[in-house]
Amino acid sequence: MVENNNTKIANQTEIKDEIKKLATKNEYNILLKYVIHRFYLKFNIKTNNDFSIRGIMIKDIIQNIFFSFLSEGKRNWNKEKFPGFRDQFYSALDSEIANTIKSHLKKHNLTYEINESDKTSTTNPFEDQQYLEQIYYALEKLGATDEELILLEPILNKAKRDDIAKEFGISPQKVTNIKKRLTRKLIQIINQLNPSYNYESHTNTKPD
Amino acid sequence: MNLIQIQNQINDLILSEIKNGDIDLADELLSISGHNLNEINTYADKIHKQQSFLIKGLINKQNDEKLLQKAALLIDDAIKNKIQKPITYLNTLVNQNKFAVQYRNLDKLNTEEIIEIIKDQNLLEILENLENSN
Repeated sequence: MVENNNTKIANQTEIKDEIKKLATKNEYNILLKYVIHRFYLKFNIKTNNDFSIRGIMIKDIIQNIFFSFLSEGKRNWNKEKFPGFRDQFYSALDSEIANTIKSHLKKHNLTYEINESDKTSTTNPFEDQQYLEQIYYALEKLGATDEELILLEPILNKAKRDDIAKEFGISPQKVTNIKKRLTRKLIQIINQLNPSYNYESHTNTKPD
Repeated sequence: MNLIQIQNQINDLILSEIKNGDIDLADELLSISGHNLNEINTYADKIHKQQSFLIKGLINKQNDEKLLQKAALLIDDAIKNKIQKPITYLNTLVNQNKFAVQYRNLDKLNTEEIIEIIKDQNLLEILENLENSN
């Protein structure tokens, strides 16, 4: 490991060891699905039948990240910021996705609206409140427990698991389980949250 | 908290859970949105096979280059310090192959030329011999 201006940068051997752990069948399965979901949830862009997005192959995006970590000087693993390599890898993947989309749109003189901006608001605060209430109502209809409903806001606000556990007097493992159950319920109502949430079907064209 | 913020927070939560390995959640969401899961799983397997092969190849190549560099430096050092065993070994290699004329004078070899001579040899064996002879 190299200490560089108070930043702990991993050496190539450490990166290679972690890359081997990430280049497994199971991890590729997660990676592909993560990219498909990220393009849609963050950029409102749907994956095509051939697993491309606006002419850019998803497999190339994933490969670029692996290769850039393996090429000395291209991408570093900042152990200070990301103690685990997995988080560093996905952070790089997120940047690659954002840059790919930005450069593609720039090239074609297009503009787009990123879902990521949290500065935007509806013009009507009443609608916002109503929206939150709708979420609680929908969750209740799906059988959400009181604990799940109470923990919804801290979980959405990315409060730390241990802090939530301490505050509500439950075990960290219980927080993890509640979070899992809550997320599963939220994806059931995602069509209501994102009205256009509807990917193109993959049933007609075979990928290359 | 406004509508867009809530949407973003929910999206972040979903992505974070998938990123942390909740594959069932990713599958469930794909099913809800009308994807053909079998096709996606097949494609994931396919790109894993292709890319893990390339990644392993690149890592092996980089490791070989590192070993080669290390061996060349050790040999260079041995020549300078007139350590007989590595010099004899290198002489044998030079005489056995096409480099016989080109690299007759070992004293004048630079690291790149040493790499050229030893690159097709068993590097681990060379390193072991070199380390034993020092």
